[in-house]
Amino acid sequence: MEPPASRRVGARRPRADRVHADASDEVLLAAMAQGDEEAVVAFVRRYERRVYGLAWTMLGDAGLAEDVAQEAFVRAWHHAGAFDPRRAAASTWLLTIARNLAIDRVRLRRPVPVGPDDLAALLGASEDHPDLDVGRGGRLRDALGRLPAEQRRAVVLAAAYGYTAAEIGDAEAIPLGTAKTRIRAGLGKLRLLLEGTEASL
Amino acid sequence: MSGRLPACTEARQHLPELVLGILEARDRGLVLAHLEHCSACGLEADRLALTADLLSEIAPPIDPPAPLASGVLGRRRAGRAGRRTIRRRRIVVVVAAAVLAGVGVLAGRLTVPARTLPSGQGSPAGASTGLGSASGRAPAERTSDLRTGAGTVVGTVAVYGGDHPWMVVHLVGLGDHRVVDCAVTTVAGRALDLGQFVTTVGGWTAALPVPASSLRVARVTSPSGAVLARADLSR
Repeated sequence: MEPPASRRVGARRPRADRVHADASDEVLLAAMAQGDEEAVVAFVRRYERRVYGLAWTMLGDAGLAEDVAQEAFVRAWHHAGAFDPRRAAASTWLLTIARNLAIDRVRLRRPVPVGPDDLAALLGASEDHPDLDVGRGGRLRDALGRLPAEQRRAVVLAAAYGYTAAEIGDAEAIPLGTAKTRIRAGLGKLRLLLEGTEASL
Repeated sequence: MSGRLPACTEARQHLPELVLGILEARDRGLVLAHLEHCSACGLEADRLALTADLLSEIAPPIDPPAPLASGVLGRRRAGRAGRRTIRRRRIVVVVAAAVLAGVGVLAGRLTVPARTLPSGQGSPAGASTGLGSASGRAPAERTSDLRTGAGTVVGTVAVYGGDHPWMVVHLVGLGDHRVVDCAVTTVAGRALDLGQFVTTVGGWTAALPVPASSLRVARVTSPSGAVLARADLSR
């Protein structure tokens, strides 16, 4: 009943003979809540590159990233019955679980050094990755692109790398208060931009 | 409202960092205490969290070294069988427990011993994309300074009561990245190890296996047992 082995590795969207592979996220999560392990496998395959990518970006370490990614799926499975599609997309929900886990690990290590090229690569990443949700990912990058550069850096350092305001201050050579202001202004503006486009999607 | 709680304007200054999961423990405690009493700020935090959560979508997809599914299935089975590694028992992020313990969202940086977690009740949805139910949050019952033997304040311990008591240890003055142990002693003289954490963690959270009101003292020690700091938790 498994998909062909050739589909297992790196398959973004397994088109197997299982209904699970084509099921919506909501259907998969509902099946997971009932203990359906095939639904778990399908859900993991669908999102493992996204979850691992986030964990690796935040932690810069393959072993830690794999650990966090697996744990994120275990937690998503455990709480699949509590997923509320009215609040957020399944991918956002899952990635936020992963992000929370990764932030905790970030706190156990020194922050990963982030250079300007890393940030630029992150902000331009969607174009190279067609399996990213174009609507959500594109909308997010559009909005980030409209922030003043220093606010964008502060928001991304916090969101994608788990930097605290103090660490952003160190990295940017600015006072703590300025770092906090940039985070606040950036996230506030981002919210206005994203809420403004919500109706169109 | 108690004069110790930050006003709405101050709380709102911290909300972006709170919803991004990067707010330092002391401020986080203060803000969460405020949100307990202020539904307007709670709503604001909830809405801001939706934006912050969307930022989790920013990272590029990367192929893991090997497919993750078998590991996920294995962990779940191992978890159900109660076989967890020491590391996972001691240092896990607990979104679900945090909801129950009264933190609501933004539990990304909290850690508690997994064995004390109630299972199947919490919602990481509330933890990850919202603030959970307001009724689940409560301010710290008390906050005490952590002092070295010489009397220097090197951090704080905030104790939270309720059905699932917990505490947050916030260390700022113990120097570099190092592993420490944390233990509490009850008024009855019972000593309880709460686990290990790293001093640079910012805020470390432990579930309490005893009522918050029964605590007398918290100690932070080096792995060799030397007491680095203590906090008087008696009322």
